[in-house]
Amino acid sequence: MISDRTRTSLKKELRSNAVATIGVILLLSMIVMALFAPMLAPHDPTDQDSSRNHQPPVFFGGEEEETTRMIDGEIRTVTESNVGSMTHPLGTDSNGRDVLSRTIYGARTSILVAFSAMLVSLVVGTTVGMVSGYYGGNTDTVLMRFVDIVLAFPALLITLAMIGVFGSVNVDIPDPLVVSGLVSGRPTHLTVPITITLAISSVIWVWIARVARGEAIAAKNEEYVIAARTMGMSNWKIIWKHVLPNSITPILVLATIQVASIIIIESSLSFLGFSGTNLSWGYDIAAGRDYLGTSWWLSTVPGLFIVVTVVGINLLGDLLRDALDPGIQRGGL
Amino acid sequence: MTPKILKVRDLTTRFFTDAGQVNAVSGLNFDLGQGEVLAVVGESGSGKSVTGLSLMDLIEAPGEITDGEIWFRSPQLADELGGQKEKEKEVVDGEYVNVRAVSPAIRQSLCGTEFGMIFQDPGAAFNPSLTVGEQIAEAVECNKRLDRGDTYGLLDLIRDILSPKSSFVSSESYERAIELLDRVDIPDPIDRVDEYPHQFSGGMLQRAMVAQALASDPTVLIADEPTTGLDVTIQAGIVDLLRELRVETGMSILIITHNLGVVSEIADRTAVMYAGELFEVGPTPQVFERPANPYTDGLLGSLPDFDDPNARIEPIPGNVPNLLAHEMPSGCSFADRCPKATEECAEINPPLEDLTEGDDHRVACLHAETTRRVAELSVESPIRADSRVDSGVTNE
Repeated sequence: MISDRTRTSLKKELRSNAVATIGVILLLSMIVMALFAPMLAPHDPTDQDSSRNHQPPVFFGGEEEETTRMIDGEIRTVTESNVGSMTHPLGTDSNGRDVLSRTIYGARTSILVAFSAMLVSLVVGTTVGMVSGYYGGNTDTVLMRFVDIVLAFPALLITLAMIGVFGSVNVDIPDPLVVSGLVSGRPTHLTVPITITLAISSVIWVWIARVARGEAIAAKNEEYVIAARTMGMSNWKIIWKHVLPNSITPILVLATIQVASIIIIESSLSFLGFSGTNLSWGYDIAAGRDYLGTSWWLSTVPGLFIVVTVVGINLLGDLLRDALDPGIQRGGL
Repeated sequence: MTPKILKVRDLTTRFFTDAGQVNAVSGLNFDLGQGEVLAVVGESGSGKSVTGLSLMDLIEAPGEITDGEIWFRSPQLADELGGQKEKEKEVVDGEYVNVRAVSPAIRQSLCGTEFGMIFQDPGAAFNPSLTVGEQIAEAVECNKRLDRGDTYGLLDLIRDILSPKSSFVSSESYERAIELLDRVDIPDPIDRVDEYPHQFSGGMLQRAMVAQALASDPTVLIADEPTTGLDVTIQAGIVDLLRELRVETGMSILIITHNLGVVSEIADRTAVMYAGELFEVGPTPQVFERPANPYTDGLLGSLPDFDDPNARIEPIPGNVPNLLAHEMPSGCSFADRCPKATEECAEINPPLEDLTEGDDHRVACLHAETTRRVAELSVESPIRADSRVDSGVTNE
């Protein structure tokens, strides 16, 4: 489906465009972080210890304070260190959990939801768009009016409504790195928020369908499609062989950019408390909101990671657009 | 005489646009003999291409073939379908099958296996994301599938998506693609077969397109302006190729063009179209040397004469009329540009009639020496115009 020519122009673009390369590196590092979270996280992200809560990131100050504690039945004065240290380089949250570890684990949820929701949206959106654009007529009218209805509502509203209707369904799958014994002392399961993924897909596919339809309409009037029809080629085959390969580029570019908005929707949902897991960037931002005045790093660190991922994806989208845009002719006839 | 392979009767194609109804092709009648090359000529907008598309059943909304029959000679299919009637229309007449009346599945299979089509713009007629060989092989596969009576349904599509290997063409079809490329004189077909369309030159792509059309061993090849946009030497090559193929395979060719040079090179018979109607049809030498219709005369007169380079080129004044139904003249559509036009031309739309001299030469003009007119003149009918209206002349 992706031709040699496409591959060549992608490579060329990657070599000549430094900014795009940065985008690819940013995104790849997020993916690596998500994949190898148990190995990369210095601590168990769920390990709580109130004696070291609200530690600022290293080099960001903090103080040693004297508090009274009941130890062995006696009231004693102890010195609690709240100075940022290399043990918790990005500080700790209100329960003393390591912010860096939590953020590394948070990448898993974001990236998992983003990619699986995009896969679902791509399959559904492309199919609907292709059928709608290629067949036209009443099929097109019915499908596109439905798409318009979905587009008319704010994405967050529909996802919230769906979560409200179907409840929060999550599947825990064992973390292969922990189960296989490679890493110990980390959460043994990885939570896949099914409802959220499907709810987000249900608002993203319409964008894909819109673009796919437009591309299919343009492609179906090409002479090679007419030529294929003169051979008696069936419609499904024409869609698969001729329409889809010539429509896929703008769809992929849009999909890349939509991945960024999925990450933001996912974070918003987690922020509102619908994450299904508490290892999520949005969840941490929401939890840190109460301490913004004193412990700014709780919301800032996951927030920065969202920014970095979204910027990385957008740069990748630009790269794809520049490399694949049919408007930019390279060689050819 | 050779048997007719295709008989077109009253073919009418209309487009229902926002601006009104466009009569792109109105009541076309012509025959195509076995192994014959028929050229359809005319200015831009005369309905030539729509005729070709109508024959292939490729008219899409807002267009529609509103009337007419396309009889294709296929004794085998006629036997199979004998006696069937669909929606009050005759499906079979002797050895002929009405392509317009058979079920969509049969029509698709008939168009796919018996008819081939080549297009004007070879650059656009190949999918830029597949190799040329793949596309020709695909045509071979498609033809095999139609011969087997298979249809490619949703299940096949899902299978292709799940296992990309199954959607590859078989090596047999691939070999055949190389053979076909070799047949149309593409050098190094074994290397060329794996190249993408943008690696081919325009002339080579046109040849490749002929190869693709040959994949189904068509009985009728419809060539829609096959030489437009190619330079003269390459045009000559394509014309030679078509001529060779005709002799070799015995197929009939319907060539749609406005290049009269190509017509004189290749066509046995020539049909002149104007404003969606057939103005004159006959053996090419007769049409060229003794055009019976003033339009044909004008068309030939607007060509430079190589024997007499100083002769003036006489263009036909004016333009092809707008084909919108409510703006069409009620009489002959050429009347307002015709040097011979008289008052009755503006009122009566002349039917296509046999010419007195010559075999199989027919013309639609009130001033031509048609057999009927000569007969009428000899009787010396006093009220000629009225009697003509009564004698079944359509006046739409």
